Amino acid sequence: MKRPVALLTSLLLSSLSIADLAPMTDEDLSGVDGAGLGIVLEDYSYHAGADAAAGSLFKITGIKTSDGRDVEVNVDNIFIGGKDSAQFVDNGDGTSSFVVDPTTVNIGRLNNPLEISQRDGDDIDVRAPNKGVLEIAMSDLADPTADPCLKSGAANCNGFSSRAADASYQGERIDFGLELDAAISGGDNTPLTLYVKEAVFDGSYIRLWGDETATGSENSSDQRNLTLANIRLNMYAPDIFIASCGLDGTTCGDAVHIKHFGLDLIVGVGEIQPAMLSVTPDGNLKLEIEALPAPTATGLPTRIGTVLNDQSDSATWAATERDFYDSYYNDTIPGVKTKSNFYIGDPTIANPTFDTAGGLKVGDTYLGTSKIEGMQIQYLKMTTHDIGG
Amino acid sequence: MMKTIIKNIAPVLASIYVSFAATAHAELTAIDDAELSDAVAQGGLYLSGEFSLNEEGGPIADATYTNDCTDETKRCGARFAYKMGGNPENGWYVIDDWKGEASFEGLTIRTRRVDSGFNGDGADFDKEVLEIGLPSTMKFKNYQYNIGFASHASPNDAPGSYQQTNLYGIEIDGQVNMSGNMLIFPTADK
Repeated sequence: MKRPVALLTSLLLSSLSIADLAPMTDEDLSGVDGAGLGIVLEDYSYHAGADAAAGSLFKITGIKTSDGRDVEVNVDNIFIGGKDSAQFVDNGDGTSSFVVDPTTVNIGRLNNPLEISQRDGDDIDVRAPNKGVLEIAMSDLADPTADPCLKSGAANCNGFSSRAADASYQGERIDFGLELDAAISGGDNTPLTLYVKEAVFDGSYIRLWGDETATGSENSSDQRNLTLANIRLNMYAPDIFIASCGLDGTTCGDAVHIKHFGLDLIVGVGEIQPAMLSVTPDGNLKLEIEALPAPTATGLPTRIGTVLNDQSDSATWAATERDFYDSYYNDTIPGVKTKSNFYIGDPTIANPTFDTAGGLKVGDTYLGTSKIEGMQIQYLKMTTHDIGG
Repeated sequence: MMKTIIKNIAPVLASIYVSFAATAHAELTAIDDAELSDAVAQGGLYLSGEFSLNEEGGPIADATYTNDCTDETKRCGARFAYKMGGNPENGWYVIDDWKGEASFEGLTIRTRRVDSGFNGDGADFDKEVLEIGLPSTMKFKNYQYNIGFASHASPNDAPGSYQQTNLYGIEIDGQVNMSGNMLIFPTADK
């Protein structure tokens, strides 16, 4: 009964496929090694925002003041682009205008793209043994062991694979910014402008995997049954401006200008100390980073021992307490980092229409550099609470 | 039943094939292998589109909470809930009250060989990629959604004990400019 249909279909299809199919050689095939999906954004720019004159709006809602009045946050400009996507133009009267006109940028490099991949949890830089781990990552650091810029905020950063823009190439470093005004019903408007220049996110990633069997805290036999995560957020930017402009963005006063901002934030360390994101039974968000279990009388806590002994480098671990805790606190566990760094370089309050190459000028207010180095999150639990009542 | 349908479809298909053949009067000449090897598919896909979501509310109406767009105290948009934990006490992430219109013009999909550009990276790369050309503008009309966390997937699952905390909402009316191409390609094992 089906034969006429099949015959007809094969006739139709065969008449369409006249082209020759060339066989793939073994060499061709051996070059195919799909393990992940690389993504590069070419000539990218993004720009949105409210424009009262054009009748358009873009706002963030759902925020209330403590006395119950609605706060509407109008997003006047939100943009992502290449170098000099926005600028403060001098008005000549001590104020300046914030002008947004995004240029284009490439995000990710062909030989080092943004990547969505499935990682093997046994790898020593993942450390989630016997698990498949979903990884969403920005470009890798050019040299993963050395991240001098993130730590010190040095002016010339060579540790990144994303290149700065020059006269002949738009580069892979991203300008982005936001112009907001928070309007309280029956009250004042509070405008805020944030502009980050030539930011690099190399080496950032988020890893997610499921955990159905491991016990929760070392002293409990509860199953975690949760999605576990590791997040590393690297960000370096040579200039960040935080200003307060008039509602139309044409009368900006002085701005806070941060020269060299570096962040290297570690949230969760493999399955040694995973982060857990969940929603509580009463509908609130909870972020928890599990406490590192205390040593036991007989040696390493069971959970840590299980993780280390299942890794591909398990032979190098003597699996003694001292080795493990030494490595953890000295940030020398191979493949993973346990410490975060944070650097705010030379923040000043000044007129933002300055020469970007210039240092401090007369009249600038210098706020002092701050630096947090080697911060280790031992335990973290944050829960949102509804105070809307 | 199935057999009857197939029996009925066969002659219909045959007649479609014949009628197409009849409309193609032009003479078809054979293409030889040499000519074929010169033919490279340049075609891609150009898409424009428009969608409208729950502008007038959805099908699940509830007396106290959802899908009554005429009542400002209720929600009437679509709802998407997901849960990332296997325990009964884990709550849900929700995108709630999601509605409005959006349209775009000029989304393109094609394959492309990258062998130049990118400040030297292109020549080293020299491979085929899937290129998605982003639409230069997307227009939104009364488009909105809320991001929140809830005790149950839907308010109707637990009338009375349902709880939800909204983190924030977004409302867009106007256009978003977005230019560039997204290049997608397989990468090697790490």
